[in-house]
Amino acid sequence: MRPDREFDEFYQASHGRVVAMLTAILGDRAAAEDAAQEAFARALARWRRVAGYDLPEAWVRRVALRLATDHGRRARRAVRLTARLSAVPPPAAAGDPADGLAYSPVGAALAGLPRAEREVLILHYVAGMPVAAIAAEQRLPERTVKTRLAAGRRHLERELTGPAGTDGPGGRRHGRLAGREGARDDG
Amino acid sequence: MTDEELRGLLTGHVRALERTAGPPPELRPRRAARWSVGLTTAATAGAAVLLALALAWPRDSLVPSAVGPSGGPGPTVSFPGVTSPVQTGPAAPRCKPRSLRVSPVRAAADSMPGLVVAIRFRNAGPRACSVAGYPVLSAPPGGPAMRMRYTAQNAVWTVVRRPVLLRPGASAAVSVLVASFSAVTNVPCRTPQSMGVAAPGGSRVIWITAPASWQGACLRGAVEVSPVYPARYAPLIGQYPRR
Repeated sequence: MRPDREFDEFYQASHGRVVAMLTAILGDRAAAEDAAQEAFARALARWRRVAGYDLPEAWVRRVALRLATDHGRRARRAVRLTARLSAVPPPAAAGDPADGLAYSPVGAALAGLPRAEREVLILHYVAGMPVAAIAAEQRLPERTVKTRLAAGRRHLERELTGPAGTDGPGGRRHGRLAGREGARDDG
Repeated sequence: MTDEELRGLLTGHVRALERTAGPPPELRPRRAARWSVGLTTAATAGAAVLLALALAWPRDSLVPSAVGPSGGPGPTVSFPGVTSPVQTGPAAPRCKPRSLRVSPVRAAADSMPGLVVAIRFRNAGPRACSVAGYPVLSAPPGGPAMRMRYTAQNAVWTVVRRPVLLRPGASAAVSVLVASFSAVTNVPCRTPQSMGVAAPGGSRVIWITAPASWQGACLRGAVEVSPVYPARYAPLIGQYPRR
């Protein structure tokens, strides 16, 4: 099969999955689509090599996640810097990446979790990656990944079974705060 | 909750997100040198023409009607019944409003003048196009009034009004400043659960769910909207273009 056709089939088949997984992790579909597009473009530029990997889709997802992380860091830095330059007080909470999550109960519950916990939950339970693989990919000790998985599970369960009246976007924040306060109580 | 239940929940959520995703956009790799020499030459020539047009375009024609002739803040526009601020001649084919996908509002900054959020407009069409001017924002019928002010300069941002060229899949954005009116007056305020957005140059209103951070602000004060700028600067607080 010609490489360009092979890439085209790969792109058509995996784009939706990659964007969906990134959206669940980042909580922002537009950011997920931008990062995915850049990652697929990089895959195309070096397709002969990427096609030889066991899981090209995992490579694209990993690159997209790194791009999104770098972009987020740059954006936060820019906000802090420009706020300082323009004498506008820096934001109390720079951005709410959860705002783009789909308003489903699970999406709203995920929105209440820190991104690091969302990431390991999605990679482990949806992408089917074992703890060791996540640790290697994220350059973290396995113990850290296990801790994040456990905390993510605990927080997700708490968000899903949170107090009544916390449905919808207005309630997500309450749920998240409740979860964090609960975590402190546990400690 | 068991592992299997959790896996089912998360997988179901991601599959639902996948189902709602649009078709993959046309891919324009930055470094993939797969274009023929002819195409590259044509693209370069086209870019040169666009640049020449952009430089030759009269500056005044880019000033929307919501901005005063002195270049200062323009008149206040109230809803309902307002039409889109005048859209001006961009240097590339104008994006059709139906090809611009409006994304949910993203919280940006909770600063002294109020809350700043950004709205993104993604070119979902197959061809590159340009977008310029302002979107039109509105509150849901029967909801609290929103006094809109479209301005290129305020205490938070200074945006030079110019067309933003969008390749397929690329985004432009606007910043929106919501005044925290109730903090000054102690008057309880109603906040809308959704917000109407008409893309620049368009009249079709798309309703998007307001995020939690937006709903925490009071909309009885003025809502200020910036002109579009490239989404990579969103949420813009400061100057565009950067110096």
